Amino acid sequence: MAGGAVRILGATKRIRGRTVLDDVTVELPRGGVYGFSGANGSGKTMLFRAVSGLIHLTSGYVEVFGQRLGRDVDFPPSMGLAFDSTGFWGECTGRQNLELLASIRRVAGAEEIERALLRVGLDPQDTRPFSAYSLGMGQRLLIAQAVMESPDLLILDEPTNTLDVDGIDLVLKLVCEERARGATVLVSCHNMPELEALCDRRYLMAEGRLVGEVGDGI
Amino acid sequence: MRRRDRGDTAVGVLPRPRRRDVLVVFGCAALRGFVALCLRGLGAQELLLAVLWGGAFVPQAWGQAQPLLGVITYMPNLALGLGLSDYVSRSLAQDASCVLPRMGRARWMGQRCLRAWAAAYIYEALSCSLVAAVSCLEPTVGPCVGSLGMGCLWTVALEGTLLGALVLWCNLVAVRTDAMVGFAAVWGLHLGILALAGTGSGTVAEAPWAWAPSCRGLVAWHSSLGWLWGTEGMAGANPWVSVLVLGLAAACAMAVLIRGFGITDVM
Repeated sequence: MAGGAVRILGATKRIRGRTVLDDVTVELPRGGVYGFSGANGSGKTMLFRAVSGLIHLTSGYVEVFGQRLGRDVDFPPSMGLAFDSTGFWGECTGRQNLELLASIRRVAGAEEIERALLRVGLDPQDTRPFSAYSLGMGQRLLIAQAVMESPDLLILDEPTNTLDVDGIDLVLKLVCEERARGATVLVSCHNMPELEALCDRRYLMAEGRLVGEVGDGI
Repeated sequence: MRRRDRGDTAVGVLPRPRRRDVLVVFGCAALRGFVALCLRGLGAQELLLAVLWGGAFVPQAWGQAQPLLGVITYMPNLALGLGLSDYVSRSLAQDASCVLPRMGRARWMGQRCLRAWAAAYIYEALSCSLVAAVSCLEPTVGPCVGSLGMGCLWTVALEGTLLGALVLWCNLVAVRTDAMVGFAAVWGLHLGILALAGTGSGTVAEAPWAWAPSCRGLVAWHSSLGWLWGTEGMAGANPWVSVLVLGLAAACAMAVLIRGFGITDVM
């Protein structure tokens, strides 16, 4: 674990007078799995949005691999993001969807796409369009698009949502493989003991604040 | 596939358009063709005047204004405006997690704006072709369409640029408020200015509103056909200048959208 992957300093975000992130400061070294727990509305997703560059902080800053978001770059340069599955093309198959997304940056080729689909338990030859996918299959495809380009930073928000037991096992395996590859993985893992057990560090959030590290007196 | 520099986020082009956006453009063009088909009994020249060029709004073209005919013939344009009024905000909701971070903010917004503008041109070219085809069913079509010549191309250029600008301004208002608010505000203003210009005693080119972007296409199109006898020097009469002014209006909306998006939260 050499060098910092994510550095968050005094991150505060206010939306319409409400503080959704409150002075969050944390440094995450490169190449580990970092879990964030907390009740609904505790600020986990908002923190992930700040780290992924989707929102701008009211004060404080986020640095990813030494580059400050909003100043040096819009988004972390090598990032896989799994937030929600609304962005897929309903009339295309899972494979075609990944090909469309891969065509943007041209980092992943046909081999990587097929491998990503197999890793999440989807059949690359499946001819059904995305609109015929179940919620769980959509979630698997979302995770596949996040890992297909072998990103240095992987952000998974509630990755086991809507997944069956097999799907959860595949996600756990995938997180382990990504850590072994050297990726830095940020994952929200509320009420997921198996996922929590994989984390190198686990942080507890409440009311937009980072309460502390689990196991560190919490 | 060739590998790119991993550190550069501002790469690539948007993947293929969403089915809904394609349907809006082709559906509205087909609707315009259908309206023309229903009104083909008017005669070829009147059909072109009414459906393609909004002539029913202009008292000088028909002896008196034909508001009902005007509203019917303007429906496809309004439907296109409504269908694309939330193009940017809807695309943002769809692209937030998968497409946007792969492209970068400015590049994503720039390409979205260009797509919205291109959609207006595609609609215009398609629908003009359909209306011209329908007007060819009429026996008097020869002298009518044949005499227009460059006017047909100017129609696509002027109205396409105008529609593109309107769509972009709609989206600019919509990303800050709501799609319906954007549509009502921008198209209401546009039609209001057109109506004001058409109620004067002289030609549109003589109206104090002739300088407004909404009237630019109208005046310049008449000029391109040589229908502004003695008023060629008036505001908005040069079609090249009008296309430029309308293009600038669209570019302003595009620049504000790109600049504003740089500091916008994606929720």
